[in-house]
Amino acid sequence: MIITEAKYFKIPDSTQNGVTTSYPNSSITCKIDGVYWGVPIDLENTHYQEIKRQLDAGTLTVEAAD
Amino acid sequence: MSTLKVNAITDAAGANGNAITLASDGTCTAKITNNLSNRNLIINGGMQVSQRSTSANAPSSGYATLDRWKFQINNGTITTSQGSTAYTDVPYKEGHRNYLRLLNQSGVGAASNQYIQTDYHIEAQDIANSGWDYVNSNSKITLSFWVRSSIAQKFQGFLMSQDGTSYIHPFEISNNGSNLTANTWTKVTKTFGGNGSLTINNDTGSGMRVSFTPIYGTQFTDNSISLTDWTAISGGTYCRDMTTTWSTTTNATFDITGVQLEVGSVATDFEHRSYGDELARCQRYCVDFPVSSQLGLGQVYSGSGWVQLPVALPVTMRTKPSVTKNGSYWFNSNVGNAGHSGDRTVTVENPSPGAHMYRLFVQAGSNAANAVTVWCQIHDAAGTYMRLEAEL
Repeated sequence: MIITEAKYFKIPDSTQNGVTTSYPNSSITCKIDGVYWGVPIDLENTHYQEIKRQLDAGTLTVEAAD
Repeated sequence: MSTLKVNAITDAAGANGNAITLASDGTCTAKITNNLSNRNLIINGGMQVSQRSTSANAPSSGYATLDRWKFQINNGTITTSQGSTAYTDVPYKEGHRNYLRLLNQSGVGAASNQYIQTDYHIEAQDIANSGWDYVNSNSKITLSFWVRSSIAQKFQGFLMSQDGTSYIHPFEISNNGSNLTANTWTKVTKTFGGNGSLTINNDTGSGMRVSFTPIYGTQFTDNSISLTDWTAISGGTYCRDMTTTWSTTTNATFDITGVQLEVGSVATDFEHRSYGDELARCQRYCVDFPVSSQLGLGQVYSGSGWVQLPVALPVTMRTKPSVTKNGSYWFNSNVGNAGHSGDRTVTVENPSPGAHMYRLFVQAGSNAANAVTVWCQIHDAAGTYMRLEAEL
């Protein structure tokens, strides 16, 4: 499974009653074998399992979220 | 031929009532202890449901055509497709109108590290709750399926536990020990006992894999591996040595259908399910939103340039799904009469897995002002889709 263009996604900040809420990284957008995927950061998700395996092995880097 | 005319059949002791009571109208009432409904642990064993595509080149590892059937290929081009049986095919007469085909488009060869397989991953809790006492060698499960190859040879397959230490139980795909007859459907039945070393969790992960392997190179085979018991995976050995004719023959085909795995030592008739029932079961793992699907109303999120879009699912998915899409203009968002299409980034966001509804975040179009409500749909260009996957 060849994973490229990996980048974290987080829900954009929201402001309610003057209070701004920030959210943590929740997904990784990437290409898997050349096809776009939005992969949730969820250990039960098999795409994320493979991303984590490659991250842990040091063979994949994920760009920070905007 | 003779006919047994009786009103009832009972056990030898006769103390427990009739096992079978025959009525005068030719019907009978029977005390059957086998689990007759929902006994097939394989979803889409009849190869009816193909949400993604009916024909595609198999990925190196992933799903391409028939739901629930995964492919793994080391090297070469294998086309997978959903085929249709003809009336002259024996499985047709048993109610199988479809089959899964692997087409060896390029003659992939038989290098020692070559592998081509189609796998079925059974969700662990479905095995754990099936009634199979998998740690007891006297408790059985039975696999049955129809197979056809354009090449007269034997093939290999295996069951493989997925939790704890993985154990493997190879089996031979043959005509009672002989080569399959070329271009002829053969019914194969294999029964497996449990093993005290097996671990199967009661969870949503993969608990057992059923693999059919047209070719495994010698790096992965060993003729000393047991065909009658489970073996801890050691040294990368999965099955016995294989004939390589299929893998070295361009346009060779390998077809399977009617795959059933059931608790017990006997292969019962295939459990036919309606298309709708089978589709709903498949949608636990994959939900396809095809071309022109109406997704409904979304809202531009907090001035961020993203649309948040609730999407209702037909069934609860196994876990929080990944999302993919296809098409240069796959997403269409309308504000009033103004519509915009584009190749937008999309992610699945939801605080709790297992829900019937997820929140998608999709990059907004140029007309997306803050808090504006937008109508969202999959674009109507041919081949466009969005897909949620929670496969194993």
